[in-house]
Amino acid sequence: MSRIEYTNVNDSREITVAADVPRVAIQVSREVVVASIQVDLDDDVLVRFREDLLQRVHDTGSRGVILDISGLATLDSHEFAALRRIMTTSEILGAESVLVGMRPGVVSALIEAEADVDGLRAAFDLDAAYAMLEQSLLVEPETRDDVATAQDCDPPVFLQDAPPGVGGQE
Amino acid sequence: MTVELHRIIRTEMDASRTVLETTLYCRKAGMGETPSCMVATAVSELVRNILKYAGSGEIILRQVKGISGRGIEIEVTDQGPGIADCEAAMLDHFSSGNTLGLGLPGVQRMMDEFSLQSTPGEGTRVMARKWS
Repeated sequence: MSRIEYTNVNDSREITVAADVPRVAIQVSREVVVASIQVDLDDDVLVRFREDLLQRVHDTGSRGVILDISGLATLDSHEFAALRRIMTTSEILGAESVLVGMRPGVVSALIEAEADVDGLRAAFDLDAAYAMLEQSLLVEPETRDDVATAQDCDPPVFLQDAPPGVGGQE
Repeated sequence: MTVELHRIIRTEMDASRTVLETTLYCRKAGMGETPSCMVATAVSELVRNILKYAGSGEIILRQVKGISGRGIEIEVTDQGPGIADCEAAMLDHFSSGNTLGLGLPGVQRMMDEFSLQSTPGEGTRVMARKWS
């Protein structure tokens, strides 16, 4: 009995909090999800942002995500770690992510704080980020063509290069 | 010139407002954009510790003069549980909470001068300065 009441109280409180949480602007442009972070990244904002972003990536099937943080005057180690977790999550969904618009002071502070920047993809501005994503994503149509060509080929010719065990199945 | 910025930190909103005010305070004191950002980030790490470990605390920002010119001083105090081993807290990758650690070595590197005093059960005081 009391457990059910507790759950209800908890639920209604969560809804109230969620309604007040400012949202990060997310739009899709040239098949890339672009999020411009202009609001303070407190924990509630981060949770909501992650949900919104992942949902958008999933709904649109975008293969690239750009996080624009040029609107942020500061980014502490906790906020940075949270952003990186969000980037990793979108990568697991299949979208490459690039961080854009870090100010010199933000970069300096992150390095001094020994933030984990291994494997971070970052670009100076939106154009550079698009160029970066296009470079890695444009490889894809070529790869698809290769696969299509291979499938169009006469199977025995294609399988000549395959290991004996695989080729012998035909 | 000697206008201090004194803020009580109780909520996440207090914290983020104070970080923003720190940037403005440093800029107004004539500090460049990059060092101002570093002071504000240091403040961000320190007030985050207040909320996480002590619940509440306070911060004072001052303009100071030294041999090497003008600068900004941060004084952050709380009446929280304190840090049992200050030396260990200043080692990188040391963590007394979860995996994030206290970020104090980072704060030290962001600032030019740094001191940490803490008595378990009484609280913690961090003083740090950055010269323009």
